[in-house]
Amino acid sequence: MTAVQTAVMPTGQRLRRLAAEVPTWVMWLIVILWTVPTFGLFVSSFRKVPDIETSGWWTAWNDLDNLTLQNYRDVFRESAAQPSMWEFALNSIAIVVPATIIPIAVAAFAAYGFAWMEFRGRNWLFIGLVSMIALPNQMAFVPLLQLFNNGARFTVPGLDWTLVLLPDLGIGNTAAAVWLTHTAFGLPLAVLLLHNFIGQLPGDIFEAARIDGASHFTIFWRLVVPLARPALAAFAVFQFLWTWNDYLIASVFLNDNEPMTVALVNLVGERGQNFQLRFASAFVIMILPLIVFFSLQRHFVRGLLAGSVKG
Amino acid sequence: MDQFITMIITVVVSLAVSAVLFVGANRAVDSIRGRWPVFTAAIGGMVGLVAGAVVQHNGWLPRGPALGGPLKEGWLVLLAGGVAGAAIAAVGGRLAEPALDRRSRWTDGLRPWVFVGPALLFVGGGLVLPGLRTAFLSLKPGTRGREPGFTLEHYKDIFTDDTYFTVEGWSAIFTGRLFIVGLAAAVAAAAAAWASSALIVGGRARAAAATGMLRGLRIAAVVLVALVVAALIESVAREPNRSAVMDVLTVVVSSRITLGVAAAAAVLAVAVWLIARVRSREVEMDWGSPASSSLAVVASILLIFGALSTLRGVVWNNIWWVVTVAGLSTVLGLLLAVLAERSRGERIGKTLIFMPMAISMVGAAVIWDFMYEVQPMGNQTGLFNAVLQGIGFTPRGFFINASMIPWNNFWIMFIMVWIQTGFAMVVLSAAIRAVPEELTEAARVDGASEAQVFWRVVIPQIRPTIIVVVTTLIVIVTKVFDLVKATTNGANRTNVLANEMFDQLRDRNFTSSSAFAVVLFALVLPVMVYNIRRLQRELA
Repeated sequence: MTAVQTAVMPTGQRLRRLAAEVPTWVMWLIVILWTVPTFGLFVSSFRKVPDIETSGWWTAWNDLDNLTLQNYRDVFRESAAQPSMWEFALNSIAIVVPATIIPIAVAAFAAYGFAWMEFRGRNWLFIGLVSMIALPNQMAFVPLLQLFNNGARFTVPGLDWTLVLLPDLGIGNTAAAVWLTHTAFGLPLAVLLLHNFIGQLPGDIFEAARIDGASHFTIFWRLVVPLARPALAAFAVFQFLWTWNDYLIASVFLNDNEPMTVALVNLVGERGQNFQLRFASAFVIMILPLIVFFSLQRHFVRGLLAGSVKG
Repeated sequence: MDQFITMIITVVVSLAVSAVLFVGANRAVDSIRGRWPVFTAAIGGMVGLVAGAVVQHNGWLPRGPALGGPLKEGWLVLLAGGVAGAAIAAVGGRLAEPALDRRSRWTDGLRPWVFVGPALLFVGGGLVLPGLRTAFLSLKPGTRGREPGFTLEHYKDIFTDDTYFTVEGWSAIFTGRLFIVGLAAAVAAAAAAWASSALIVGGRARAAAATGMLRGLRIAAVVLVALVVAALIESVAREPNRSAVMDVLTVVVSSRITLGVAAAAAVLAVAVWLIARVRSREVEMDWGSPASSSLAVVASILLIFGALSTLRGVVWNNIWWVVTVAGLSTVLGLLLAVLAERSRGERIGKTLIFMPMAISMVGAAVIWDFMYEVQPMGNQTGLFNAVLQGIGFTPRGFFINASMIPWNNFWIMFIMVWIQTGFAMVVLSAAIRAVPEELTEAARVDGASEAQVFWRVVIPQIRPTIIVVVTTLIVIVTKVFDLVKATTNGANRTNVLANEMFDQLRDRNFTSSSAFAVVLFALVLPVMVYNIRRLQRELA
C-alpha cells in the first residue's frame, strides 16, 4: 500500500502543480495579446517605407540594419504638406497645462466646501454636481460653441427686447475655449474624487484649528491641500491623460492650432500618402502619456479606486 | 515659439487672476464681520460694474461726443459704474451697519458659497445650462434654431430614417444562430439552477437525478462553448473560398438539422424543466450556483448579441457598442483579476494589460488599423491576417470591407475592449482583495469548491463594484466617437450617434445635431438616475 502511494503521489503532485500553473499561462497569453499591437507599432515606426508595405513587422528581426530613425526625423521636419509635429506638441501643451491645473484648484475648493462646511442644500447640490459625470459632453457642444463665438443673448418672451447676457468674448477657436470646456467637463469627477478623499481626513485636526482661530481659508490652505496631495496627484494624472488624449473637444472647438491627436487623425485620413509617418507620429503622441502612466501608475490606480470603489 | 510664450503668459495671468478672485472673495466675506463698509463697497462696485457692462453692451447710453468708439469708452462706462456703485454702497454701509452677531452669521453663511461657488459656476454654465439649451434647440425648426415655434421634426427624422433607426427585419433575430444557441444556454442555465437547488433540498432520488442532470449539463456546456466558437469563426470567415475545415464547421453550425436539433432540445428542456418545477413547488431556483450563473452570463451575452447584430441603424449600433464593450470588458477584467491573483508576475502582467488606458483612442485606432491590415496580394503585413493565412484561412479586411457587415462593428468594438479591460481589471481586483478572508476560508472549510467560493461568496461581495464598473463603462461607451472617426468614419454601417452628432455640427446643422445629442443623453439617462439614487443612499 505504501508502495502504491509513493508510486501515485508524484504523478498527482505533478498534475496538481501543473494545474496551479494554468492561471499564469492564461494570463500571460492575454498579456501578450494585449501588448503585441503596441509593440508592433513601435517596431514599424523604425522601418523603411518599402519594408512596411511588403513584409510584416515581425520579420524586422531578420535584418536589423534596415531599421532607421528617418520616420521620426520626417515627423519633426517641417514640409509643405505637413507642419512639424513640434508645433502640434506645443499646441497640446498649451491646452493640457491649464486644463489640468484649473479644474484641480476649483474642485479642491468645492470638495472641501462640500465635505466640511454646513450649508443649506449641500447634499442636493453635491448630488446634482456629481451626477453630471454621466452627462454626455455632446449635450453641451452646440451651446458652448455659440457662446464662445457669439456670446449669449436672451430675448425676453413676449417683448421684442434682447438682452446681452455675455458679450462675444472672442475666445472662439482659441486654446482658452478648450480649457474652459475641459474644466467644466472634468469638474464633476474631480469633485467626487477629492470629496471622497478630503471627506475622510480626520475632522479633529480641523476642529482643533478652528478652536485656535484658524479661518476656513487657512485650514484649506495649510491643512487640507498638503494632506490631500495624493488625491490631487491622482486627479492630475487622470485629467492630464484625458486632455492630452482628447480628440473630440479639440476638433469641435479648434480650426487651427490643433493638438497632436487632430494632426494624427488628419494624417490617417490621407490613406496611402505618408503611410510610414503615422506609426512614428502615433508613437510620439503616446510617449508622454506612457511615461506619465508608468511613473505615476500608483496615483492613477488610486484615483480610479477612489472614484469607483468607494463611490 | 512666440505662441508658446504667449501661452505661458496667458496661463500665469489667468491663474493669478483666479487666485486673486478666490482670496478676494474670502477677504470680502471676512469683512462682513470685520469691516462692513468695505464689504458693501465691494458688492456695490461689482453690481456697478455689471450695470455698466449691461448699459454699454445693450447700447442704452446716448452716444455723445465723449462716448464715441465702442471699446475704450466701453471700459470707461464699466469703470464708472464700478466706482459709482462702490462709493454709494460704502456710504450706505457706513450709515446702516447691522449688529455684529447678525453680520457674523452672514459671514458663516456665505463662506461655503465662496468655496463651492466656482465649481457650481463652471458646471452650471458649462454643462447644465448648455444641456438645457441643447434640449431646447433640438425642438426648434430650421438648422440654426433662430426661427420661432417648436417642432419634433428632428426626432422624427432620426426615428423614421432607416439608416438611423429601424426595426425592419427583427424577425431574423429568432432564426439567427447566436440567438438559438443563446436560447439553449438560457434553458440550460434554468435547468442547472433547478438541479442545484434539488441537490441542496431534495431527497436521495431527486439528488441523484440532479447530479445526473448537472453532469449532463456540464457536457452540454462544453458542446455549447464549442458551438459558439464555431459560430463566431464561421461568421468571421464568411467568404467564398474557405478551407475544408471551415466547410465542415459551417455545415455543422448552419445546417438546418443542427438548428432543428437545437430547437427541439430547447423545447424539450423547457418542458422537462416546467414539469419538474410544477411537481416540486417547494424547490426554489438556485441561480447562484456556478453552473447556472456562468451559463446565464453566456446566455444573456448570446441573446443580446444575436438581437443587436441583426437590428440595423445607428441607434441600435450604439446600443450594441454599449452592451458589447461594457459586457466583455467587465467579464474579461473579472477573469484577469482572478487569474492574476494566482499567477506569477502578477504586477507586470497587470501593468501591461492596464497600459492601453494611457493610449489615446486615436492612437489605439492607428495601432489596431495596422493589426487588422489586409493586403489584396503578396505578403500580409497585418499580424492577424498573417496568422489567418498561416493556418489556412482567407485574409479579410476586418472593419474595412463591406462583406464583414455586421461583424466589422465588432472588430472596432474590440479596440475599445482592449482599452477598457484594464480599468475593469484594476477596480475589480481591488474589490476582490477587499473580500474578507474569513468568508472565503469558512466556505472552503465547509467543503466549497473554488468555483463555488467564487460564484457564491466573492461575486455577491463585489456586486456593488461590478455595478459601478458596468455603469462607468456604459457612460464611457455610449458617447464613443474617436475610434469610429479614426477607423471607418461610419462607413459600412459602423456609424454611431456621437459621430453623426459631430457631422451635423460640422455642417452647421445645430438643431439636428442637438437632437442626436439628446438621443445620446436618453441612452445614459437610466445610469444617471441610478447614480443619483445611489449617492442619495450614501449621503443619507
